[in-house]
Amino acid sequence: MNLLTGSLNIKDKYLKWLFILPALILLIIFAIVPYAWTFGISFYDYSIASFGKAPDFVGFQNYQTIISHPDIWLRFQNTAKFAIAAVTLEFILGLSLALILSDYFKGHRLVLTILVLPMMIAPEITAMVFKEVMFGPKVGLFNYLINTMGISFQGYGRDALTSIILVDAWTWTPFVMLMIIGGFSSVPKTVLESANIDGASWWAKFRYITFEYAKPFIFLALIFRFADALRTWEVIREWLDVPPPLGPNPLNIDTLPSYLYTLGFRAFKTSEMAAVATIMVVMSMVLIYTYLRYLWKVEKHD
Amino acid sequence: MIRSSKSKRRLFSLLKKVRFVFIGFWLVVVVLLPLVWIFLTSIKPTEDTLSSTPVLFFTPTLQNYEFGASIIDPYTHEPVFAGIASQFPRFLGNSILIALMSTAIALFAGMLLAYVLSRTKFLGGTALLTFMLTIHAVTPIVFTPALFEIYQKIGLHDTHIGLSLIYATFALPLTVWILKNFFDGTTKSIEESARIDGASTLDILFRITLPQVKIGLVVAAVFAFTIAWNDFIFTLTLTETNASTFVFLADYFDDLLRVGTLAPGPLTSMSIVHMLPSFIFAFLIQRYLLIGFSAGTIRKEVE
Repeated sequence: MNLLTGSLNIKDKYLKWLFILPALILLIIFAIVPYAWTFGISFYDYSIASFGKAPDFVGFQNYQTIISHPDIWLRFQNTAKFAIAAVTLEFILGLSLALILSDYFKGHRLVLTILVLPMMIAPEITAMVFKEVMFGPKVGLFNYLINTMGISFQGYGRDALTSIILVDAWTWTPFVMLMIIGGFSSVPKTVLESANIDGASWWAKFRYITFEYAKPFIFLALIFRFADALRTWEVIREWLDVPPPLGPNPLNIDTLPSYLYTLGFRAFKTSEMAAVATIMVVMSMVLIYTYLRYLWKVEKHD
Repeated sequence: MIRSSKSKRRLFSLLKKVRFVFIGFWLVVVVLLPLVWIFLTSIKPTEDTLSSTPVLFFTPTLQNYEFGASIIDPYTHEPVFAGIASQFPRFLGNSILIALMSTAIALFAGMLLAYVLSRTKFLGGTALLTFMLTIHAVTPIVFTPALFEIYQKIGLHDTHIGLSLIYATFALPLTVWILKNFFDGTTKSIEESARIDGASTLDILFRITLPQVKIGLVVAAVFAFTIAWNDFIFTLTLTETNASTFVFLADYFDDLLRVGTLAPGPLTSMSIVHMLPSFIFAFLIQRYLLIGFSAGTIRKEVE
């Protein structure tokens, strides 16, 4: 197969593989091999903190430990709760912002750039600084403002989940917004013009033209955000670190990815972490595959 | 008829006002207020940062930015950055160097792969795109223990190139998806006539096609840069001090936070130092950033 025209050409055939090679090597060495290692280690008794000790093979024991842990179901629930709530909120806000900002106005570009800034900060740093200077019970600005308005809000304690979702929405709403703006801008002008000539109403134009064109972008924004939400741990970790009298009930906010961090980086139970990781990878693969199949169906239908 | 269009227009102008109130609220209160507050906290005298009612009027000070021994923690009366302060410029330099290196690697490898995926249909192409989406959905923590062991063995631990290769790999999914979409949008007829004129595939790619997807390259570069700039978990596990990026400090700050000996001042000044370069970067490339999000999001990425 020729790279350009589709006819076979020996030189181009080699060139094609040469082109694929760098990316493939990177993916194999730095993603596939490490993951295979992680998968393998989930059947051993291994800790990253024990240097030089040969790990014992323990079969499915790590999986048993994980699944029989009394809190595991709560962590599943919290993961789903956090992801669904955060992505729903980000979708509603992102869609509203996109609807407003898809029209051009003066200063448009500046406004969009400022809106995007929260995405440019490392999540770990956003988590720490929001925890201290926005939600901190003594010096937090948000905490102060909301309590001044007469709303009782305990950012660390009772309302920990709300705070975490707000921090996530602050960071990622612009992502959803920009993706949807991209979708809106993909509508060909000629289609809208002929709809105008036919005298279509604003709602009809939005529902049957703009929305239809934007749909794949909205789907894409949702899958990327949902995937991200299912692996978010930084902000949850920060909140879990608040000591008990003030802090949240861990069972209310601890999710699978933050549990993963605890196992791997605090408890050094690397094998158990690998088991949780494998469960999560299988889950996200099933989710992505289901979603892509749905997307294919929708695209075919179109 | 005229009356109905008049009332419609009134409704429309009302909607317009509501829109601008909403966008203004989001811009000023939601986005800018926290950022400005973080900045103000970083230039406040220590006692004002600890006040339980927000202090708006204060004598600005740069004490929190003197990352030497001069920042004294108000709780412990010890210098906050003792021992690590000398590493600040190094970490910032590492961040920039590694982000640039990984961006270059990701762009090079991603561009070649995206070109093939766009121009030929080969078995495994769709599988590769799907697989890369799966990588995006897996938390990087999963890869760290293995990479830690591997890097210790092959001597990439705490090296700039080691960290750059990781970031390049994890930037590949977005890079490839975006660039494939841009390549899909270029006209193949120019390439074909160049071929008839006797141009080689490499000539065509570098002289004809790449200049057409310049914007796509910038967009992909932005994503790749941000992934490297914002990473925390890999710099934490795979570096000691030599190749650590700026976010490495977050762990040090996190430890102080956990034992309750970190005042808001040093925390916010560190954050501002982290934010400023990427914000400047965002404003410099704002034109491409926005085009990228609109054109770079892929319509037919999964065919």
